[in-house]
Amino acid sequence: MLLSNIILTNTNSRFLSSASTSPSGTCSRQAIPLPRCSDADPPHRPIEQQTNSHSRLQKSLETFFGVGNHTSSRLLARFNIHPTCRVGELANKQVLDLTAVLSDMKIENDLRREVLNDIKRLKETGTYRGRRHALGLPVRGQRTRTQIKTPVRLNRMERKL
Amino acid sequence: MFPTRALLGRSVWKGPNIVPLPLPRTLPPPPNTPPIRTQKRGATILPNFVGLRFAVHNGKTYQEVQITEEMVGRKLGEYVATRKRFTYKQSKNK
Repeated sequence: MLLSNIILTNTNSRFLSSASTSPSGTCSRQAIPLPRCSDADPPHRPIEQQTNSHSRLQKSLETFFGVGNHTSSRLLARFNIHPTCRVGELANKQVLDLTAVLSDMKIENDLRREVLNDIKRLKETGTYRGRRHALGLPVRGQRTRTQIKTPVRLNRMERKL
Repeated sequence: MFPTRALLGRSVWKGPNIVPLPLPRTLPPPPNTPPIRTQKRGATILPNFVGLRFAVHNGKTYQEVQITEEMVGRKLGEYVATRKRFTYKQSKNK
């Protein structure tokens, strides 16, 4: 009982201190602007666009293509952020840290292009896997008698991600 | 989660599947050299195969494959299909 109380108060105090450093109260919309990744690409969407300050930080990190459950929880742990932290509760420094790490990672369009290039290389060299991609059939040896809705939908000559 | 899924296909201690194939003595081989006929579809393509022609068995016939640099590390059989696409043929006598 005592221990849990201590932990609770601890988390509360940390939570309060981080909240107090954020510009104005809890309901302020806080953008995490990300730098442009490369020339022709549209800029990364800031987190603000996808979510408001009430949404969970982990969830809003996972809206990036290439950041899943594993990466987002690792990121939170790295910067000592509580797993149930909301976007609006972040301190400015934490925002900057997250932004720096995210801009170094291969996410969104860079990652999409890499995956598409891998598939394209398989097709061009004429492998079995490339052919299955082009035909819209499952690639990894699944049965095709029934239930191939996903590859039929996704595997095309011009694959979209 | 498997951090190295690429290694799961085959035990690491075995190394790549290196099959003794009758490679030409001189590289590059002189023109009009017949392609290397083989049924070893599981043979790993080694860097010294680049530029050679192989005739790989597909279960029925031997199909020719020209080895390029991107194929290194993959298997010979990946480039020769073993299945024929199903096509409906109209039967004459009903």
